[in-house]
Amino acid sequence: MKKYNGLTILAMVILLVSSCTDEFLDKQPFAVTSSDAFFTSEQDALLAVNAAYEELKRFKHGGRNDVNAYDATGLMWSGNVHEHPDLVSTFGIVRTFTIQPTDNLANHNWWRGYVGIQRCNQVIQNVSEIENIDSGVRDRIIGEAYFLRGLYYHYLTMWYGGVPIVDRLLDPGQEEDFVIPRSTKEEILALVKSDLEKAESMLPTSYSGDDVGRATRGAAKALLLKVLLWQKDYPAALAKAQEIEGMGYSLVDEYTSLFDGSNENSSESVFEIQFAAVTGENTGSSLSLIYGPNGEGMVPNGGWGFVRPLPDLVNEYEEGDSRKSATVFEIGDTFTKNNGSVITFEDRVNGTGFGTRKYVTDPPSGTTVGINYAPQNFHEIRYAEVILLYAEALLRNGQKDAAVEQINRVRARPSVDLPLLDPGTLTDQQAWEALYHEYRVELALEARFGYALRRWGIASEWYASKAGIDSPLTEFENFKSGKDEVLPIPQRQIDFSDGTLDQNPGY
Amino acid sequence: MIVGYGTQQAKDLTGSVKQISSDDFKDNATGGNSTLALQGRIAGVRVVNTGSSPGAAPSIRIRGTTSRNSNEPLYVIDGQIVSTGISFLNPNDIESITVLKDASAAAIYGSRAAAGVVLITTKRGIVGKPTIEFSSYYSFDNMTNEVGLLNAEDYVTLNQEWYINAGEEPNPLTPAVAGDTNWLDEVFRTGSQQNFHLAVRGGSENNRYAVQAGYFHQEGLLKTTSFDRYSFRVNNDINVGRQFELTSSLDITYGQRARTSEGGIVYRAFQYPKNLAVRDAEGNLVFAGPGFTLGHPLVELENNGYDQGNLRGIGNVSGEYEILQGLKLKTTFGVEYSSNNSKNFSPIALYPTDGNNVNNRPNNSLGVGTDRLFVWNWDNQLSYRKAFGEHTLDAILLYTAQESDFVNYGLFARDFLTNDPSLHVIDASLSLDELTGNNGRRQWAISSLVGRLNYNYKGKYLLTGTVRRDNSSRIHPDFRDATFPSVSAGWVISEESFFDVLFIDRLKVRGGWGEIGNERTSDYPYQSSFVPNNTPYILGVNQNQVPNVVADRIQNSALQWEVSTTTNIGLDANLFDNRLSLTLDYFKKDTEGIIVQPEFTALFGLPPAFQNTSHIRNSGIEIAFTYADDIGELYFEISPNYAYVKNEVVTLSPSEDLRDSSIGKSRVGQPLSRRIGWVADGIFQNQAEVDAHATQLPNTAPGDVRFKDLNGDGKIDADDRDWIGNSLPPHDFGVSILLEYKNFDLNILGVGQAGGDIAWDPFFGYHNFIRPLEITGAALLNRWRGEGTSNFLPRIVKGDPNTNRRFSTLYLEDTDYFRIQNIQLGYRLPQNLIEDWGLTNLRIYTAGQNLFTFSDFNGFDPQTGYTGYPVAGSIYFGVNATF
Repeated sequence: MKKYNGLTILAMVILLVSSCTDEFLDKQPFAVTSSDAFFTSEQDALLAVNAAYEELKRFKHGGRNDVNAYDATGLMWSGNVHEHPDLVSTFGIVRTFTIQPTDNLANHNWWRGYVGIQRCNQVIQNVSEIENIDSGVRDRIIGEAYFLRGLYYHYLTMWYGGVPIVDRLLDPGQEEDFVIPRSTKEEILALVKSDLEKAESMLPTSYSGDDVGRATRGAAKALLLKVLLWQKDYPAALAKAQEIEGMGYSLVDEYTSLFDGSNENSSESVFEIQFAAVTGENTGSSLSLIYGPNGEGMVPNGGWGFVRPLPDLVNEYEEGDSRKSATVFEIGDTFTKNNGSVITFEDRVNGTGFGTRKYVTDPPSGTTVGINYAPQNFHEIRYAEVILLYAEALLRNGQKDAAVEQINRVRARPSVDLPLLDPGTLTDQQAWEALYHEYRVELALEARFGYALRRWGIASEWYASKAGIDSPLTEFENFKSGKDEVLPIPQRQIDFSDGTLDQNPGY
Repeated sequence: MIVGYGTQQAKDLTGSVKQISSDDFKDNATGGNSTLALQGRIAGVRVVNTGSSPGAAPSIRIRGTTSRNSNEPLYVIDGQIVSTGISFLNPNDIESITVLKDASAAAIYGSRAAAGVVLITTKRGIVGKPTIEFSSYYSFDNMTNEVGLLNAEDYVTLNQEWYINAGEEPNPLTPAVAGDTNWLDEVFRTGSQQNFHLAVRGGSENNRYAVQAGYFHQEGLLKTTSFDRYSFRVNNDINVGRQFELTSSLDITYGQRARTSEGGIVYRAFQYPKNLAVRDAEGNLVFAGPGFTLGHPLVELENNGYDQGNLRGIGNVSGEYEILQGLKLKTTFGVEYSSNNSKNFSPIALYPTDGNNVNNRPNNSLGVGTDRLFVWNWDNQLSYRKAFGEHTLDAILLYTAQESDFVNYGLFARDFLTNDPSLHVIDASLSLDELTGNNGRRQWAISSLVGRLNYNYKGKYLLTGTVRRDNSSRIHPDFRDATFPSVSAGWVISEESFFDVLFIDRLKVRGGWGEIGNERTSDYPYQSSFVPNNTPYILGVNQNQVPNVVADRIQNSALQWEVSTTTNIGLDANLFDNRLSLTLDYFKKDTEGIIVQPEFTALFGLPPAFQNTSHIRNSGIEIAFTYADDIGELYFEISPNYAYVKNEVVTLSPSEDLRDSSIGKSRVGQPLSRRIGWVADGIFQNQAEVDAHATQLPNTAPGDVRFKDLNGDGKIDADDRDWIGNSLPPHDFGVSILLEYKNFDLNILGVGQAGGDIAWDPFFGYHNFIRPLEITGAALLNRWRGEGTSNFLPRIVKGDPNTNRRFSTLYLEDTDYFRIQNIQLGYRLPQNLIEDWGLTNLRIYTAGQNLFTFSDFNGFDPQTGYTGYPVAGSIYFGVNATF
C-alpha cells in the first residue's frame, strides 16, 4: 500500500510537470500595444503624427536635463550671445568654432533629427494603409508628416550639409540600411522641397478648435520659400513669397506680445512649436528658465542665464528701437513679477553686462514645475521673417526698391515705429545691409541670424568683420571659411557607418 | 557540506565550492549585514562595499565581472531561491554559507547561477531540551578617513586667484555672514549600532524547532540616517513515521531606513563655501550668495524626508517521502513576498528665498511609492542514492518552476505648508488637484528540468554530471528551450596504493567543465511595441495636451540565451597531519552572446534592439590555505587567500568597439570598462616649455598640464589618448587568523585589493573649475603658482583654456588597500562561575571593524570614492550567552 502511494505521488508530479510547462511562460509586457495591432484607425494615425510634432521639443536642444526648445547651433552661430561658463563644452565650442566630431552636441543634433524623421516615416508609410479613416483626415495627417520631415531635414542640412536620406522605415534585417552614405546638400534640399510641395497640397490653410497649432499650407509655403532661397532658385522664391502675401498673415502690433505668451498662434504666427504650462507635465518650455538671467531671481529656479547678450548685439539696435528693451536687459532695467515685486537687473554674476529679456516670463502662479514651466510657444517661422525673406527674394531678383518697402513693413510695426528707409537713397549694397540689420535685431535670440549668414553666403566676411569685437567674450576670428559653415559629422556615426560617412572638410 | 539540492562530503566534491560557518564570521563582524559576512573569507569572492549607509546592501562578485547584465550571484536560503538578495537577512540566523563558484557546482541552479550561487542555511532545531542563545552588541562608528578641505582664508585666496589668472577682477566674495566652516563636520557624527538576538532551539526526535527573533538599530555617520530591522524566523522539522519528513522555514523581516539624500548631502558639504558661518545671530541658516547654485547641505539634511520600509516574508514547506530504501521523492513549495514603501520629501528653501531672492525654489514636494513582489517557487525532486559494493551512486531528477509578479504604484504632490514631518503625507498637499501618479507591472517565469548524477568509486574516483533544460519567458518561444550540460571529475591520488608521500595526508585533483545560460536583463527583451510617449504635445486654442504614441525600439525576436562556459581545474590537499590544508583553483569563464542593447547608427531613429553580441572572458587563479596547530594551550589557525582575475573583452558588437570620446568604454582585448584618456606629463613651468611642446590649445600657458604627444604628430588631440586606468582590480586577498588561549579567543580578518583605480577628482575642485565657488580640496594648496612650485597640479584659472579638466591620468587614483577588516577579542567566563547563573556559555568580546586601513587614497575610502556614503570604522562591545 505504501509503495502504491509513492507511485501515485510520482505520477501526479509528472502529470503536473507536463501540464503546466508552457502557458505560464508566455508573458507579454504591460502598457504597450504590439506592433501589428497599431495603425488600424484614425486615432492611431493621430497619435503617431502627434509624436512627430512632440519630437520638435527635444530636437533642438543641446543637453542638460531635458531642456528643450533651444538650438545651441543657431544661437551661437548668430554671434549675438556669450554662454554661461558651465556651457563652454556645449555652447562655447560652437561660438568659438572649436567643436570637434567627438563633441556631444554634434551627435545629439544628428540623433534627434533622425528620431523625428523616423516618426514622420511611421506616418507616411503606415497611415496610407489604414482603411478605417476619413480620406480627408488621412491626407492631412500625411501632409503634416511631410511638412515635419521637411523641417527636420532642413535643420539637418543647415547643420551638417549633406546627410543620409532616410525616406522610409529602415529594416534591421538589411545590412545596407545601417550604412547609408551621405547625399549632397543639394539632394537634401531637393527632398525637402519635394516634401514641402506635397505638404503644401495636402494641408489646409488653417485649423480651428483643438487642431490649432498643426502645420498649415502657409507654414509649408513659408518653409518652402526659405528652401528655394537656399537652392538659389530666386524666381521661384519670389513667386512663393508672393503666394504667401495673399494668405492673410499680418504683423501683430505689440512686439513683446509675441514672446510673453499673451498672443499665441496670432495672425503673425506661421508655425509655432506649442507649449503650455501644465503642472507635472513636461509640456511647458524651459526657455524662460534657461534664458532667464542668472542669479537675478526673476524666474523660478533662479534663471540659468545660458546665453548672455553681447555688447555688439546691444549696439546694433538703432536709437529708439523699442525691440532692444524687449530683447535684452541692461543694468538698471526692471522686471515685474506676477506678484508685483520689481527686480532690477544688476548682472550679479559678472556676465556680459546684459541679460536675456526675450521669452523670459514669470509663469502663471501655481504651475511651477521642474524646468519646463514656461507657457510660451516658440516661433519656428513668423510672418516678420517671411516678410524679410520676401525682401531677400526681391533683392535677389534685382528689385531693390520693392525689397526696401518690405523691410519698412517690419520697421513700421506700431510698437516699433522706426523711421522708414528711403529706397531711393539706398544702393543695392546698402539695401542688403539694411536687410542684415533688420534680420539680426528683429529675430535676435530666436536662433535665425547665423543660418541666414550662411544662406546669404556672407558668413566668412561677417565673422571677419567682427573679429576682435567684444574680446575676450568672442572669438569670431576663429571662423574658417569652407569649414565652419557647418558642424562636423559626429564621429560616432562615422564609426557606426563603417566609414561610409565622410567627414566635413576641415574637421 | 551543503550543495545544491543535497549534501555532499567535502572530500568527495569535484567542483569549486567553499563553505563557511557562523563560527567563522561571528555575529558582530558583519555590521548587521549578512552580505558582509563573506568578505575576505573566500578566495574569488569580493564584497563590494558601497559605504555604510544604514540598511544599504553591498553587492557580491564571484570570480569577477563577467556579464554586462546582472553579475549578482543567485541566493538560496534554506533551499529556496530568493529574488531580492540577502541583505535583509539577520546574520545571527545563519548557520552556514556555501559558495558555489564554478559551473559544474552551480549547474543544477541553471540560468540564474551564471555568476555563482550563495547557499545559506539558517539555524535549525536540535534534539534535546530547549537551549536559549542570546547575543547583543553595541558599537561606536566613525569615519575611516578624514578628507582635507580648504579653510575660509585659503578658499577666498584660491577663488580670487581663479579670476586673477584669467586677467579679470577677482570676485570680492563677501559672505552673508562670515565664518570658517568645514561643512563635513556639520553633517557627520559618531554613529552607533545595537543588536539583540534571541534563539530558542530544541525538540524531540520527531519534532525539532528553532525560533529566532532579532532587533537591529543603526544610527548612521551622516546625521539623521538610521536603520531599524525586526526579524522573526521559525524553522521546523517533523518526522511523520519513518518515511515521511516535513520541513518548514518561515522568515518575516521588516526593515526601515531613514536616508535623506545621502550622497547629495555629502557632495554639497564638500562644495558649500567655506567662508560662510553656519548660522546667523538669530540662529537661521546662512545661504551662499548669488552665483552659487548648489543647495544648502543642512537644509536638506534637516528637512529632507526620504524613508524606505521593506516588509519581506519568505516561507517554504517541504515534504520528503522515502519510497524505497534510497529512493526519495521531495516536493518543496515556497513563496517570497516583498513590499517596499517609500516616502521622499523634498524641502522648501534649499536655496535662499530672502533679499536677493536668488535661486528661489518655491515649491516643496512629496513622492510616495509602494511596490509588491510576489514569487512562487515549486521544486519536485526524485533522488536515488545507492551503494553497490565499492560503487556509490547518487542521482537526482528535478523539475523546478518559478513565477514572479511585480507591481508598483506611486503618487506625487506639491505645495505643503511647511517642511514639518507631520505633513509628509499626500493628503497635506495644497494642490491635490494636480496630483500625479504612476503604476506599472511586470512578470517573469521560468521552468526547468534537471538531472544530476554523482558517481564515486572507492572514494578514489569521483564523477558528477548535470544536464539542465531551461525555458524562460524572457526568450522568444522559438529559442526559449535551451539545454546546458556540465561534467566534473575528481581523483583522490592519496587513496591510491602507490601513493606514499608521508607528509601528504590527502591529495585530490579535480576538473570540471560546464555551461550555464543567463537571461537576466529586461523582462521583455525580445518584444517591440508602440508605447505612449511620456510627454504629451500641446495643440488647440485651449492648449490641450495631446497624447502621442511612439515605437519603443527595434525588435529582435531572435534573441537567445547568453551562455557562460567555465572550465575549472583544482587541487585540494591536507598536509602535515592535517595541520595544513590547501586549495588551488584555476578557472576560465567565457560568457558569450551577452545580451546588450548596443547603440548603433542613428539612422533608424529608434533605440536599439537587445542583441546577443559581446563575449567576455574571465580567467584566474585562487589559492587558499589554512594552517592550524597547537602550541601548548594556544590553538591557532591562519587562513590566507588570494585570487587573481583577468578580465578581457573578446568581442563586442561592432558599434561598441569604438575608440570613443567618453570615458569608461570597453574595447576588444581590454578589460571591461577600461578608460581612455590623455597621459598627463607634468606642468608647463614657463612659456618656453609651452612653445617647445606639441600644440595643445591656443591659450595654453605656463601652469597648465602637459599632455603626452603619444602619436608624435606635434599636436595634442583625441588621437593622443590611451587606455588608462582599470576600474576592476585584478588582485584580491584576505587573511583570517584565529588564536585561542584558555578562555580567550582572538579573531583577525584582513582584506585587500590591488591593481585597480578610480576615476575622480582627487583634489576636490578641478572637476568644478568652471564654478570657482566650489573649489574645495586642501590638496589644491599644492597647485602651480609660478615656476617651480608644482609639477603635478596645474594652475587655477577661469575658463580653463587648456582644458586641464579633460580626463587624464591626473584624474586616476589607485585604490589599492589592505585593511584590518575585523579584529575581535573574546573571553569566555569560567564554567564554574556562570553555572551559578544558569548559563552554559557566556562570552564577552570587544571588536574593531575597519579600524586600520593601509592605502594612499585621498577620499573617504578606496571602495567608495568621495561623493557616496563613507565607510564606517566601528568599535564593538558584545556578549554571547547560552542558557
